[in-house]
Amino acid sequence: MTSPARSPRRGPAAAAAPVAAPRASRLSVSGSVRDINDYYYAKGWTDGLPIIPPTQDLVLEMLEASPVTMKAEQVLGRLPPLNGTVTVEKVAVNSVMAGCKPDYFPVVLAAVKAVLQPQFNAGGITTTTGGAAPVLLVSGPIAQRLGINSGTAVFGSGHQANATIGRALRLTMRNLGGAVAETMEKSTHGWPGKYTMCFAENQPRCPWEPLHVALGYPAEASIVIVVAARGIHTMVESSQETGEGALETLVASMTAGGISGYYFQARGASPVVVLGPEHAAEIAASGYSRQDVVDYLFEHVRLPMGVIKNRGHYGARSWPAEYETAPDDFMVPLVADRSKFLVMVAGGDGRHSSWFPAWSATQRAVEVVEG
Amino acid sequence: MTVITDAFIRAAQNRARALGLTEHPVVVIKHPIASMNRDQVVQLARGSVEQVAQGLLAAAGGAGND
Repeated sequence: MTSPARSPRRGPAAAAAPVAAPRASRLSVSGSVRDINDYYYAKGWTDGLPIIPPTQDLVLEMLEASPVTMKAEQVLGRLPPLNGTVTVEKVAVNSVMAGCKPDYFPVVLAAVKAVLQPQFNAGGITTTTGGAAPVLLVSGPIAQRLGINSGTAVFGSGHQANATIGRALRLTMRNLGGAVAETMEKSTHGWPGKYTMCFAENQPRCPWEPLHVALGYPAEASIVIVVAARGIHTMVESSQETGEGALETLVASMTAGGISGYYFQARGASPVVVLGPEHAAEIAASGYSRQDVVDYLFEHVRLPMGVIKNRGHYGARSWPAEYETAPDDFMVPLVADRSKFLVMVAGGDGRHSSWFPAWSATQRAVEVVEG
Repeated sequence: MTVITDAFIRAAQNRARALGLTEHPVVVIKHPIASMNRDQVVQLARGSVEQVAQGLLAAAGGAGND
């Protein structure tokens, strides 16, 4: 921030006072918006795109949109790999920089809390050569309320909520966790999810119960699921006439060489399958529920041991012990536990679907968005 | 005691500092090793074993302690 803070207009603190930390430091930077952006860039605080200078008024406005149980100085955790102290206020600063509207802030906070869950392994995601980036999946009524795109060009640009919520998380990971290329960030390639990747389920065109309900949350709740992915793999199936045909082609796209998940099953990472609405409708019309799709994927997304042995990440494999003595015709699943598959519906018209190959040393993390 | 390849020196130093382990013993070997065959890895290990032993002894409280 650029000048002394005032206290936000907030209710009383929760009875059990959470851990608090000193308020964010204040900076005084003069010059044009371009000058301020140059300053932030030179300091290494941005992702290379312009930021909105986090002035005290804008940060305060963001803080006023935080859940009533949270105070600015509340510590949410320490973010690996450099273990910076994450406070509500510092997340607000990064959210302003990212261009978030204040209404988005509860979703950003939920995403940050999810990333702080130990099993997500934020430190590993930053430091791996495997190019992992967090993917934020939003399910629940808040998605529509905030205008989080779930339809046409769902992974693309042009929607403020998608672009800035995901970016706020990434800037938080950069500025508080140390996710900076060539210092801690060691991706061989990475992918644009390192800037931002946030979208919602296309509920109006989903033939099944909402994703958060399928995961056991109340219909009126909204959740953020964070997974770590190595990129996006798209597939087209516009020739087959049934849902089974779409599933068969989807499976074919998930059974290629060099997919690290086959070798790293022990940690329980979650591949995310995003069915386009037309494919989802065809699959549902063929009698499949969401769980049926998960079961189908678990049974069919497999490669013979003889094919994957001594290739890919075999030398560093981490999988169930019984695989070690399995014959070459043993069909190795992409995940050891079928519940790790996340199947959702998003996108616009067209007979396309996608899947996010999971980075492997991680588990998905879920947080309820607090009001 | 940690063995790292030289591609990760800066990241390892930063991480050690974040954990308050600035004196943590590290042995640096040449990057990459994943493409080496078994004999090459054994040769690399033999060339580093003395440093690793010293690092372990230092971590245990100083060279010469039982």
